[in-house]
Amino acid sequence: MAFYDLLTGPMLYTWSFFIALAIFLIGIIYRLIGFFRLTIGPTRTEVPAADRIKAFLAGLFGIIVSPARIFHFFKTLILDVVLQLPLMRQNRLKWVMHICIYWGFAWLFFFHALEGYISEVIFSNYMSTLNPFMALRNMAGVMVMGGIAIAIYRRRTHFRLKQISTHHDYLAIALLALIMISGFGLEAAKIISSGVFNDMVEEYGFMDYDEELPALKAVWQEEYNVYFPGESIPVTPEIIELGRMINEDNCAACHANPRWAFVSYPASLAIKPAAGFFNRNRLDVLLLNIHFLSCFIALAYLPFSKFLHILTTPVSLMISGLAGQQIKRDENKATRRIFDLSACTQCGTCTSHCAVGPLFEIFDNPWVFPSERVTRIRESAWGRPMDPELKEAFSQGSFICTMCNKCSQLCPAGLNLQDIWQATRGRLAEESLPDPVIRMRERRQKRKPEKAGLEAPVAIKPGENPVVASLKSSLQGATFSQCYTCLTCTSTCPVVGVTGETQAFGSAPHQVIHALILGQTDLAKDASIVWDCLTCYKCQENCPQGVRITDIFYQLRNMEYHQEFGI
Amino acid sequence: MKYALFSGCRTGFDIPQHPRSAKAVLSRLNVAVEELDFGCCGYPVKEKNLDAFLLLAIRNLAIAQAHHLPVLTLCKCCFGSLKQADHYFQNDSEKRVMINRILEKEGLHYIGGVKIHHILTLLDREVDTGIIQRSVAHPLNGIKVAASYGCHALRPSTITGFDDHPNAPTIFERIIALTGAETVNWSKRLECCGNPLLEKNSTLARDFILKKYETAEQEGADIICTACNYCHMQYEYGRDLILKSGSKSPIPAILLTQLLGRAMGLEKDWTAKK
Repeated sequence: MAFYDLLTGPMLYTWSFFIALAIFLIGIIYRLIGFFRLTIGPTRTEVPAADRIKAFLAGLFGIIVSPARIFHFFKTLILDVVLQLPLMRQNRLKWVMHICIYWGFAWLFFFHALEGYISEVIFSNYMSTLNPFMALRNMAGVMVMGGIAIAIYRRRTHFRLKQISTHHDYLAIALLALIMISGFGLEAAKIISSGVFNDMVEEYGFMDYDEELPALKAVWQEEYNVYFPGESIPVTPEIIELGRMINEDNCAACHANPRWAFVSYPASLAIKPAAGFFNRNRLDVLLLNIHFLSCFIALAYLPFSKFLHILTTPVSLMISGLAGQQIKRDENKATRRIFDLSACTQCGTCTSHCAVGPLFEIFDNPWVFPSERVTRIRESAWGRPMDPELKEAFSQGSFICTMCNKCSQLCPAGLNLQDIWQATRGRLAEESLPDPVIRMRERRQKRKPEKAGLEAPVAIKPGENPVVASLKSSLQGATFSQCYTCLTCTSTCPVVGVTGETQAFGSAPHQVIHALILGQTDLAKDASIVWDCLTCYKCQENCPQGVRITDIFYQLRNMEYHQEFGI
Repeated sequence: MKYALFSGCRTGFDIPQHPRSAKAVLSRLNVAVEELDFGCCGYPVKEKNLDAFLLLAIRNLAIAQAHHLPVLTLCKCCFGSLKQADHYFQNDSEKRVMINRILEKEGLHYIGGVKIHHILTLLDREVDTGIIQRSVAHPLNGIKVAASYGCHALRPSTITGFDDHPNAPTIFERIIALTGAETVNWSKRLECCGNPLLEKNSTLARDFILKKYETAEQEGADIICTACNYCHMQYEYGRDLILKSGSKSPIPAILLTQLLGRAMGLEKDWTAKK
């Protein structure tokens, strides 16, 4: 019985709340320690946590001592954080979506969830069942629901957002929706609930139970939409008249007409056909439990999910507003990088505007998307390292990025992504995973050509040489066989001019084309000039035979890349 | 006439002064520009995958086409890439189908025929010379300029059509002359700046840019003029190398748009980095 009470009674809220709060606090402390301890980027940029905390405090102090910076601080706080003007300038629908969820949720959190600490202190006449609070609560709920609807619509219709949305995004939306729907459901169930009515009468009512209570019930049945299962309550104009008087004396001071709950009231009308079932089984209590528990789950889930952005993004927006992409101290740069990763909301703005994002369709590599990289870098930093294969793909994606800075400029959370890319590229280079082309060049240049000795098996390879076949089937490659070895290309090549070496094989363009004509395709790919070509197109420009030499060099590099990544 | 301004990726972080100064100059010349949500021109991925290169380049042309605007690039590599991709698109039906199939996923479709300009070809062919001359408020008389051409706009000339004489172009000098400045006959004006090898063979990349600086100074130039994002970054890289080694500062490399801005009285500091 005692255990059953723990699961159903008021104790349920107490223990579940404290467990959720404990998880939340542990999570927040864990994050705070990480922000000053973890590093992304080259190992040489690592700074001890103590120095980073000192530098952070020094930076904070720098804001407080300067009146201009304090002004800037509040300007950023109001325009960027509260009003979210940068987002509005970027995309109206997204702004509406976010403001609805953000303001609606903030209202519900401060004035409804924390009503005992905030609403009751600020408003002397506060009652959750009085106006304007009842109507405003519905209004806030409608805002959040509207925002959620737009969020789902965007994630399902925007072709790029659809590609990057994960169960984390939908879980967050679903949890929020559960809190809202259970809240409205709870209010609707309470409106029709005879149980709640009886409890309230017992607690607050002073009236004659034989004559006056039925009159009150009549009013609440007719005008407040309460359903009394199994009771037939007489209703006449006189009874209603009396009931209204009793209502005025006992209830009205604390309870407005539920019609003001402009969502929950229609919802109560909708569930009325099942009211008997609701009231007999006290489904209002069940909904209350769902509402509370879903809030507590969200609280506990916050430090470990994208909900964390509720706390981190305002800070990243402030940093971005105050410092832009310039931060002086290296310690603070390191802290900002790791912090920014936790302020990402996976909204997909960077990815939908990414200069090279469309290449996902060619490379089928999710790491070309900035938002995906941010998520993976964060996971790596917080203890989920990449295996070698994944890291290779990650490096491929990272080095397709052109560092155009568009993502940082557009990020609605104010992240300095440019700095994060720079840092991760530095780390990848340190781990011998620089731009694949650099690796490919080094590998080709180190290779010693295989010499087929007399003892090698003598056989004619069946079919075509795949490299020659691929060249012949392309617009640019097909021109290689037109070469008559006049050496014009080599004469005009500026690289040959600088290295001054035309004797060693592979250092002159004509040798490469000739090697291709001879079918020595591997030799051609090993040629240093293929990898040291500046792509200035002088050879191609001057070739009297129309051989597209530079484009063929490009093609040979492409083939090597294809061999490495399968595309 | 209105143009879709294609600033290029490198201007987002490294040389924001390029589009900033270009917009000021174009506005003075009554050339209207619009900034569309363009992506990368494709040049950086060309050595990795031709299809990737084509997709990125053609996507930009499709965006411009949807807005019924010709494209105006500031960077020679962007210009060359768009031109080359357009060439492949016109001449390779397989690629054409492949690219459009991908573009259609985001509601884009390229037919072909979008005009592609570099700021030099625009000033040379589309803007009345008289207007440019009249807008020069502070002629750059007595300043000797070495024009650094930039490979990818010039060659392959049959595709880029940058100048009628690819081996002896004059388009850059013609525009510089309108400011009153003098151009020097520079032996290395058509040579590569070395940037494409910057991260792959830094010795070569360094040799190329140092030779450019050295020969330009030998020709008596006061400044080097660039009209390409990559060339300009390479000159800045070379300058840093020279300064770090303790040698005296080389002659400055100035963006064409900042040179014009200075002549028009729009630019106080033509080496401004913002």
